[in-house]
Amino acid sequence: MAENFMEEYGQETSREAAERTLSYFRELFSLEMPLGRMMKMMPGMVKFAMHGKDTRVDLLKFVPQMMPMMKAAVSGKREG
Amino acid sequence: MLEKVKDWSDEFYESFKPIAMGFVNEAEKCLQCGKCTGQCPAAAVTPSYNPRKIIRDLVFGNVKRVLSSVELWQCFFCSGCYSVCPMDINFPFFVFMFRLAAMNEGYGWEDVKQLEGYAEKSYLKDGITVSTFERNPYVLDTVGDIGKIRAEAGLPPERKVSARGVAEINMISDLSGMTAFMKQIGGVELLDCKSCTDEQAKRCKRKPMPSKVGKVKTHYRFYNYGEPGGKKHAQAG
Repeated sequence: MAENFMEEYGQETSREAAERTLSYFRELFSLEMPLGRMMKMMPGMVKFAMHGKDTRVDLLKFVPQMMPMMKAAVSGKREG
Repeated sequence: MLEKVKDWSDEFYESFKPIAMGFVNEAEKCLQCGKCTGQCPAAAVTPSYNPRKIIRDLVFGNVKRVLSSVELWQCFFCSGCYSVCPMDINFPFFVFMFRLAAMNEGYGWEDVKQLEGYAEKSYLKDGITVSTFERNPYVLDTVGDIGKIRAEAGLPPERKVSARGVAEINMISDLSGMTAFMKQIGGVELLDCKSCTDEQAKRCKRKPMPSKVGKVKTHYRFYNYGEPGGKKHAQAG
């Protein structure tokens, strides 16, 4: 086991670790909605819709707002 | 333990700013006055924790040292440092962002995986955001179970959340990626094995840290900012 963080990282510089962190943040805070990301969200929405009539009505109210995002996800094109 | 200056470049530092939603932008204003550390309750208990040094390391580009440190995980978000900072640096937010980054590097999972049991048993199933039972054997011995304390105060032992509330929490958790994150967490670690008694060890559900979390390989953290108990502790050891 490594004694300290310099041993743990080996030859890697802080810049390399920070570059990796940057790309992680870029992905994490990205507003793009690829299909894969969209599919991950579906089970939650389905569960919520299946819970009862009032939740279904609530979710349907948001459909117009979600449509552009869904279109972008399906077509793979970015809005604007 | 220090790194070479050439590891870092201004050009990279400039590109860091917009991504991190401004926290680095603020950090460069730091005067190194140490007010944050002076008023910090966490720093009073663990002398190796020093917000000033952590900001300095970020500004100087010693990112490896911050990411792999135990000290990054000692903040408990009281925001005292933010309120006293003459340059209005939002240090708690910076800590929050860097903890995410540290987890991406494989550090800090031994702390985060304590949430697993709570997430499965209370949060997603009952919608309760505060643990309803105490799993820490030390707290059970000294303070007692939360349910008992609530009952003595004339409250029901567990809080009740409506079924619709639970459905909403589940949806939000799925949409925000929280459920996926919880699934990554493996095992429950409760006490430092060096300090617990045999009786406590029997009840302890300690499991080893997962070697991998998703694609990320996990690592143990280091006390990068000095001895945890201060100089006295180091001499005694």
